[in-house]
Amino acid sequence: MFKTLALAFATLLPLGIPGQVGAQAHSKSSDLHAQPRLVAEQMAAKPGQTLWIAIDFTIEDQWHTYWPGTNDTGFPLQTEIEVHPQIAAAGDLLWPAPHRISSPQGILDHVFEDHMTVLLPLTISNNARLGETVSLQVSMRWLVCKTACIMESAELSIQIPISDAIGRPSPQTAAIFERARSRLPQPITDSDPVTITQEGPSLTLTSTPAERLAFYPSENSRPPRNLLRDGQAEGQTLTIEFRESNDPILGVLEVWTSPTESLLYTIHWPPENNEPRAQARDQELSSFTGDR
Amino acid sequence: MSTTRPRPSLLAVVAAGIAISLPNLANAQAQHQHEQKDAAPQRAHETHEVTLAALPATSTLATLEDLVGKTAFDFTLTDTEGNKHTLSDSLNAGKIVVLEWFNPTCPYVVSHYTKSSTMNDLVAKYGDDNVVWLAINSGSDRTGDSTLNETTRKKWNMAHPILLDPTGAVGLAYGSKNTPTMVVIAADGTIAYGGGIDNNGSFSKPDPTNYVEIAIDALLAGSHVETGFAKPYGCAVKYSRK
Repeated sequence: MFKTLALAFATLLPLGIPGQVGAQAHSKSSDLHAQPRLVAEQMAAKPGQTLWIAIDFTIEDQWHTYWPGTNDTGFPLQTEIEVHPQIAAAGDLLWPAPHRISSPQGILDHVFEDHMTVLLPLTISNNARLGETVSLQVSMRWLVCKTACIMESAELSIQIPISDAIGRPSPQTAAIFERARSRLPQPITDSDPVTITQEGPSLTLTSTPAERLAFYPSENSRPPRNLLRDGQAEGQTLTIEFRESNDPILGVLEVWTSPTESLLYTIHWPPENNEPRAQARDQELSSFTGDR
Repeated sequence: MSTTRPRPSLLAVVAAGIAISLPNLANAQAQHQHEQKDAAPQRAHETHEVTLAALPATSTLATLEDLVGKTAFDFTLTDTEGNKHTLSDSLNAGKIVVLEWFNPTCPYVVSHYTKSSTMNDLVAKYGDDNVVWLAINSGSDRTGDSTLNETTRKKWNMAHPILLDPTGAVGLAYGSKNTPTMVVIAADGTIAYGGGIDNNGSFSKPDPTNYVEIAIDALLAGSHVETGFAKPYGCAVKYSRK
């Protein structure tokens, strides 16, 4: 569990329902401004399977929580995960893309409003036996803000039976996962309509179907020089100036193809050696031959 | 606020500091047309005069990281007890000045005053011989209320004043986005450090690196401040939402 928190004011710990067999475990407290629950995609899991668990927050109107990226203020969700017995392992969390909010003076954060749903993969060991039960416990804390901010926390658990009869997710459960997955960024492939070029300290991202573009840098990305100014643009081109650093440029690109629809891509620049991309190859070739 | 006479040894250190940093001062002020005034006739051990930049009129935040190494902006603000403080007065007295953006309701600030004693410990460590420590509240809402801040100041046994900046003019000029945000100004008027108080934004480090303490110690020793900027953490400064 968390070491003694250094935060002085009341941490609202809800009365948790002890882990129940089934798809959901959620807190009873209505005091939280961001209310979490654990939702398993299926009622049970087979040996060798990866079962997805949603850490699904319902956020009170006009409040927001934070994405783990480059923010001026805010504190993103922190989790401690325990799995018992050791017949399953929890993998890395998958984060949906956020949106930008900024104040009139220029304070900029990447946040979630209404919902924040983080996906946790739970991989069941091949050696798990039918009839066993996996208990997943998640301790978490997060900052939720309106104008003032409150640090909240919860401890939730969920029990997953190991069974052949895994059933199908309910429509409500399926909707939670579909909504979360629709906001997961994907790596750029050669068939995606995105090109990236670098000139000096600036990166230019171009997408011909775009009406609008935005870039959300990760926490450990090479830092932009002026993210407020450069991080979003109307049209097909987004040019962002970065400060000098040895770190790669990491984050998420959002490409709006209409006022309400967008494509989401993970950005890793320069590309890693084992992820050749047409653009990177073209750049290498052109610099080698001197062509522009 | 009172101007104390610097002790002779301190004056020597300050004079040496000014001599070393004059070239930097000239570079930093390339965009500010000014002349270093000759100090008016001075008595022995009397103060020197530092030329600061004028506070810019702005409605958007400066970039604090880009202000490090540049000349500080002069300002006059009134504290929660009704006393006026002018930055150049403290610098002219040969002191290092620390600015600490403050909000009595921000959980991060609360933690630094109640779970640990980060700011109060440093204020006590340096005393007021060499360092002037000023908290500034740039909030325009109830968190900037004078009574609330003064009550909290007493409750937390703060030895340093809380200056009120309700228009946010000083906060915006210094690019302060968070509480706490720290600015350390050397006695020659150069911004020596700007950014977070330490590297402990998640409150999980048992032994955090306190950038402000490191900067002040370096300035007092006449040596280079290695880390001029570290990303601040904390609640948003409550500027007017208009």
